[in-house]
Amino acid sequence: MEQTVDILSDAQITGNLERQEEMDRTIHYLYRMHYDTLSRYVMHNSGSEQDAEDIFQEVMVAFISLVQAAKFRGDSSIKTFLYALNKNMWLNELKRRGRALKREAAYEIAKEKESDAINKLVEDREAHRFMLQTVEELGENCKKILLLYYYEQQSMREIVASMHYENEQVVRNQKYKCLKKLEVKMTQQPALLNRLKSLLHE
Amino acid sequence: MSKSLHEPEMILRYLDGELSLEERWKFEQMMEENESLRYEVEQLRAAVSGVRRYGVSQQVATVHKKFMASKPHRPNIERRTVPFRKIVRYGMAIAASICLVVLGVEGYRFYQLSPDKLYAENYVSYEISQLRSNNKNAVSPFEKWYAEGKYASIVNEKKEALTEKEQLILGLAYLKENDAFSAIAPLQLLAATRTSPYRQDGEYYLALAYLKNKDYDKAIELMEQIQEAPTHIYHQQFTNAYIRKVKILKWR
Repeated sequence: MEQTVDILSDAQITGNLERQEEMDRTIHYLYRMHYDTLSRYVMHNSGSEQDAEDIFQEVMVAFISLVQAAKFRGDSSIKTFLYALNKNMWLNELKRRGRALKREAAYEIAKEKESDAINKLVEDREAHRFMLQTVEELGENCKKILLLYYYEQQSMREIVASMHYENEQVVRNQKYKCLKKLEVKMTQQPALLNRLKSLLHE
Repeated sequence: MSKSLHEPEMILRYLDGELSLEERWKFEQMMEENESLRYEVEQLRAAVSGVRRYGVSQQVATVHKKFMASKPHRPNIERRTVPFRKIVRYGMAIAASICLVVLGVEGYRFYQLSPDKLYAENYVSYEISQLRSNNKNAVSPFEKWYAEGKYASIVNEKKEALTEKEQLILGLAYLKENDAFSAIAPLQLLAATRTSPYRQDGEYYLALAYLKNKDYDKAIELMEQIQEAPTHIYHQQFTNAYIRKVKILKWR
């Protein structure tokens, strides 16, 4: 039987990500097309295989979030964008670890500036990392209800059914409490929280 | 009538896009006038954004896990493959080390060179030969003293009108007495006598006398001359390597 090979254009990829349609298939496609090249860069520049995996995952999250916030302008191809983002994130990571950069890596940083979008994504790694950690530390119940509503975009009725709440009002109240709990946790790092807030308006 | 726009639930409904057009307009008016309300809305908006990003990270993590599981296992890239740049770098380091060792050895040999060492390395002791003399029966005092090793007697003897053989012996005696400077004159005379059977001997010992006397230019010129004459009896004494050493001494 003839095997079909997925080929998605840049427009299809960004469209799927924006509408949150066929997310698994689209993300898997991005992995298949770009993981080997991007991971090789990290491993050829003082990184381990684990480093390469972690950075690529971070690149994927940053890229998808950018697309979903309608901030990916598409000035360059997705391939070019991901390559630049991967490279800059890894170099930023090396700096963060206080590792002496190879001469070539230091040169790359000093080279012509990357786009503003990439620079911001790299600079805000710490703020985003903090945010993810804070959500992770919420209880399972809170995480689930917030993700079902804000990420999976389920309706109140669907959440009532899947989480066995009494009614929609109960879900609403619980959702608010969980969001407030998250907000209070975020205020533990006011500088990072302020940075996240300013990102929403950029 | 809808609930008061001040209630927390209203903030959430605003963020979730659940307010009517009129309620939304009123709410945004309130935000413009009320800084603490504005602050609260921004805080919760950031929290919602965080949840969405977390959702993305969880979905990516799931795909990541499946993708890595489906990839064929490969040994640690760092152990298995050596980037080309590392090979070049290590190769250059090894080559540089070898160069340093060679330079060190050559440097040591360079500083060990001296005119006396080179002289001793090349010097061929002259054996008085009766055969070359025209007169087999005549043995001059110079020859007798030389054969007996009495070189001081030779150099102290004030004799005029020396024969060519005696000139050679005188030059040799000076050399034996470590007086290269004095050896030059009689040997020069001999080397300049084209028809003398001792001319080539004179040239050879003159070259060594120049060397010992640190007249390197003259020594090199004469040595090269002898080296370039295949019929010269001392032709093989001055090799290229030897002459190079004399040149090094000159540069030093």
